[in-house]
Amino acid sequence: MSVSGVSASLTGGYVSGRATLRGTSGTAQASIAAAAERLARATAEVSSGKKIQRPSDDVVGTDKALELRRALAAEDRYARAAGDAISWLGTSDTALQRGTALLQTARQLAVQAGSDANSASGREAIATQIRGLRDDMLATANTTYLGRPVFGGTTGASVAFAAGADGVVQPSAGAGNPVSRTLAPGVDVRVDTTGTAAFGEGADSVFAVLDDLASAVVAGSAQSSAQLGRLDAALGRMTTSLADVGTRYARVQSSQSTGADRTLSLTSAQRGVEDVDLAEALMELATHEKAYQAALGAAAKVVTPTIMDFLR
Amino acid sequence: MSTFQGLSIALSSLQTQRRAMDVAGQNVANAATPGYTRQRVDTAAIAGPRASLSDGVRGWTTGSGVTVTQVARLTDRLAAGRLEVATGDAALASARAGVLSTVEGGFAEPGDSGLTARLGAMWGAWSGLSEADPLGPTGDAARVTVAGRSEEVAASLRQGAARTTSTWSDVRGELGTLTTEVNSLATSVADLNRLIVTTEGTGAPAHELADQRDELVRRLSTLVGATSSPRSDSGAVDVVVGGQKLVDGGTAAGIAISGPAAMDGASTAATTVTLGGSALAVGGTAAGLTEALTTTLPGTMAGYDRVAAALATQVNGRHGDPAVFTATDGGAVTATTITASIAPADIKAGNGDRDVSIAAGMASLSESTAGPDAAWRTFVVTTAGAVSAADVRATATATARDSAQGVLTSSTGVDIDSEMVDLLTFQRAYEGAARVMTAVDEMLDTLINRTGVVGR
Repeated sequence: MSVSGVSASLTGGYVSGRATLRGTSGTAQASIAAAAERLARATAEVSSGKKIQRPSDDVVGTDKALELRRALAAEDRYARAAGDAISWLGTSDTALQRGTALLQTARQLAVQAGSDANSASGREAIATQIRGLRDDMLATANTTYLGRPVFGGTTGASVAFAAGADGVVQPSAGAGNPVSRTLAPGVDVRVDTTGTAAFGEGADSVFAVLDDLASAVVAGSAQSSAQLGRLDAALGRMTTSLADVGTRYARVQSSQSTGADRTLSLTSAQRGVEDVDLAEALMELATHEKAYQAALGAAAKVVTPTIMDFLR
Repeated sequence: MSTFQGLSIALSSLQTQRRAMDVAGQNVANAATPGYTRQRVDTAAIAGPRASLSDGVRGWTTGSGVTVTQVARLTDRLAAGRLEVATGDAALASARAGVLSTVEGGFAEPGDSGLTARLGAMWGAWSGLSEADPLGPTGDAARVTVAGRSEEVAASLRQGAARTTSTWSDVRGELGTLTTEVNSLATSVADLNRLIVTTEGTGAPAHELADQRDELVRRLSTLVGATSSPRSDSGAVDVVVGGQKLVDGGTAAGIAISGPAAMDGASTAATTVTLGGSALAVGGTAAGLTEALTTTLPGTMAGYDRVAAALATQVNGRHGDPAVFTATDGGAVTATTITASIAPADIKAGNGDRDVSIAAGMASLSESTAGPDAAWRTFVVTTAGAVSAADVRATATATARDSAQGVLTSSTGVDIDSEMVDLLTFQRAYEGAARVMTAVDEMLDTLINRTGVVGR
């Protein structure tokens, strides 16, 4: 038992590079397995088109990819909100333009009624026309978008303005509360238009003005002309609201276009982080394929020959 | 000096060369046997008989031939010891990486079915509710969508928790199987130790038994990070795990598992391996598995729980009464218990009438650095970092093990070329001895048959 139990590597029995059958074949096997694993990885990358198969493949890349995916989902929401805001503001814009047109028609009628040439029946006809305009105006003020009155704020009622029992038109409860859309983190844009700002309130309300005008037209030419000032004031309020809606519309549009740009850059960043460069991946695959074949060839050559092949 | 001395010298050589050729043959036969340690015949010249004065031949006594002093087993304790340690390290790293990789596989990130995508869909649904008419049919549809998407997120978290629990059970089962295998291996090693001592007692070599036993010890190194230390009094070895003897010569001890039988969420108690009732500092696969049961998997569960808690606290906080996310058991919301079983009609878009401030504000949680998305991302990236580190360690330790295996094989394995050369040498020596025998025979023939017949 002199050698047994004592390290051959210490007693000089161990020669570095002694080529033993198991050692050589083991090494060959290990190198083939390693080459096969690299080949499998390269194949998976090419076939899936994804650089990150598992989060641990690229920890920093995964961090970026998750953030980019979240940001893209958010961008999607903002784009939808912007589209909604455009529709909402577009609806308001159309309604206010119609309201302005109605007021301008009313003004023409008022000017016409200011002439002494009108007969009593002619005045009555004009007054009837003006009352019709007032009803049109009420319908315009109650314009809805997707079931929501656009001048009604957060009102629970189905209309923004309604005539009370006394015939006086009043805004519905909650009509003054703003409705906004978030177009980007921290960027909220108001999409509704306060009904009372556009159509006036109380005695100044466009409905009261038109009612009074109709009564004045019946009363006489002087009374009709006296109403022109109030009519102009109502027209001014509506034009101001129209300009306000236009400004907001432009703002949403610009936000929409920057949002589209942002989506584009986020998408390309995500591709860069997650997707493989196909040319590079295919080159890699070809290289690993060759390496695998080389490992197989080398193993076949190394394991076979011993002195036995040459002894006869 | 005997007349027949020459014959006996030649005979001793014939016997020795034959024995040497047998051993070379055994080496070649086992060139591919795993764990086989090459053997070598050690020979020595036999001194001649002490010359006696009466012989009158003093001064020219020759030796009495050659003999086999021993058949040595060319082990390499240093390389074998290094391999045992490297094997244990590699098994530990591989087990650790394996469990972490399973955890990571459950994330499905980055992908379209991961929690990030589900959360995105849920925030989108809230945003959709804020754009709908809360009092009209579009609002009702949007509420149903919000409820559905919220439940999808909750289900995704529950799935993660369930997968973690089932992984825990799998690992626990594996540890149980491992314990059984270790105990049976330890018994086998002890049996072989006894057999080796008995065989050596009869003067016969027990090399093949020792090879067999060392293979078993190496398996124990993989399973529990065992190392062996040879006993000074015999060819038996002691198997040591964490400083305690698993096999003490001919007697084997048994290990057992101490710890909970099932996972209890993030606060699962520690699992340890015990030997004779006291905790054992195991290595190898067992260390990887106990670490998974005690730290990794409860930690994973805690990660899922943190996301679930962040989600429930923040969404419920914005929504107000009734809560959107609740626990199935009525307690605190965890990944295991989270559910969004709120009735769609109870989902509030805003504070009355057509107010949609709640729904509009909800989506902003996705931007919050303390929000559920951020909590999830942190969890995924932290785990991925741990997996990546474990993979690197597993590769490095596997390389170290392969290199230690290479050193040992290089030292103790069979090189067919050198065995063949040995075989040739012994064959020629045998032929030479046979020639000597012929020469002596012819000499004796001359002496016995031809002496005194000159001129006959």
